[in-house]
Amino acid sequence: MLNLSFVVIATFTGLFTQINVSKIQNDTVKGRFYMNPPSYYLMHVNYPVDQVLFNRGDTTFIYYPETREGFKLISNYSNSPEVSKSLIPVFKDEYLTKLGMILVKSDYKNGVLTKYYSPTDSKSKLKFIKIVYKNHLINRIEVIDRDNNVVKRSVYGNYKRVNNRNIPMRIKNYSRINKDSAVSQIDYDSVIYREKLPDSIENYKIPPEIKLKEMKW
Amino acid sequence: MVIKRAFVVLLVAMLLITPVLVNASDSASSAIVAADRDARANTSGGLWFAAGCLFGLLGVGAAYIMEPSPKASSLLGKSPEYVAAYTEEYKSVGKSIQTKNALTGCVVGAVVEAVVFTVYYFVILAAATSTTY
Repeated sequence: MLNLSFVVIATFTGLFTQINVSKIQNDTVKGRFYMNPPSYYLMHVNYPVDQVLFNRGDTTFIYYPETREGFKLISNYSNSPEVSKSLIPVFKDEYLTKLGMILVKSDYKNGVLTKYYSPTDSKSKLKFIKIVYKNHLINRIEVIDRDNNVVKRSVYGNYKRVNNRNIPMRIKNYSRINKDSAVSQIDYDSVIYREKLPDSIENYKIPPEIKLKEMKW
Repeated sequence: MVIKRAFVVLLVAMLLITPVLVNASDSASSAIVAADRDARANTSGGLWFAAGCLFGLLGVGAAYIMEPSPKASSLLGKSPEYVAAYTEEYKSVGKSIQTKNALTGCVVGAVVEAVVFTVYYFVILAAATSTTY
């Protein structure tokens, strides 16, 4: 599946609450996020566990300060959590082109602009990415497969102006996995723009004495 | 008296430990179910079938070596036990799908190749035997 990241030149911090509802589990995660998209993010979760999750390039680090244990997950692609990648929907056509998508259709009706992007690869399972704008702000993004099923839908709402940018304070993600559906709602609060992330965050270091469980793929 | 006291201590210790063990096992079992579901949804069987078909044993080898990686969002706010169980299961299920599909692709590729060569051989043979001078 296509990884939808966003192109932004700014750093943000704030609080988040993510509620996940699926057939397997219902849970709530709360914490603070720091992001310098698309290259860096750090999440400090304070509920239900004390957990720090951050990246260095394509490597994800997970650290538990209370129990003093951690993981180092080495991947071959950028792998950021929904909380950081969904926040700022500033899509650029040329960025989607880089991902192998081209604008194939756009409609404008009653103040609603709808754009359809299709993959250039004809073998892709994906048919369209549909982006719906209301009042020049992204209202909805849908990922549609070849059988015309909406496999993922993100709905953006509660926009607030932060440093002359419109930022959605609520994002609801619906996804369909093998006939099961999963919903996650992310609420942001106290979002502030920063010129630069604090050095202690940008260069966060796990204490050297902590032995990390390494997983490579 | 001493035995009775030791028994009570043991009983209390068991009562205190049990919830921790139950929670850990709950966490691990839900991690395994979630990892199984996510790995099946995210691993492209078709891609590895094509790799096996096109590159034969090299494709199968790549499927075995290249381990599928879970999404970071699946691990946000999860306990260390959950993360350990989830990543292990994801890796195992994803790798099994990759290898199985690459192996099927490899066998299908080999059969197709054999059929093509056989047809080619008979076409040449037929052309040679029917040549008139």
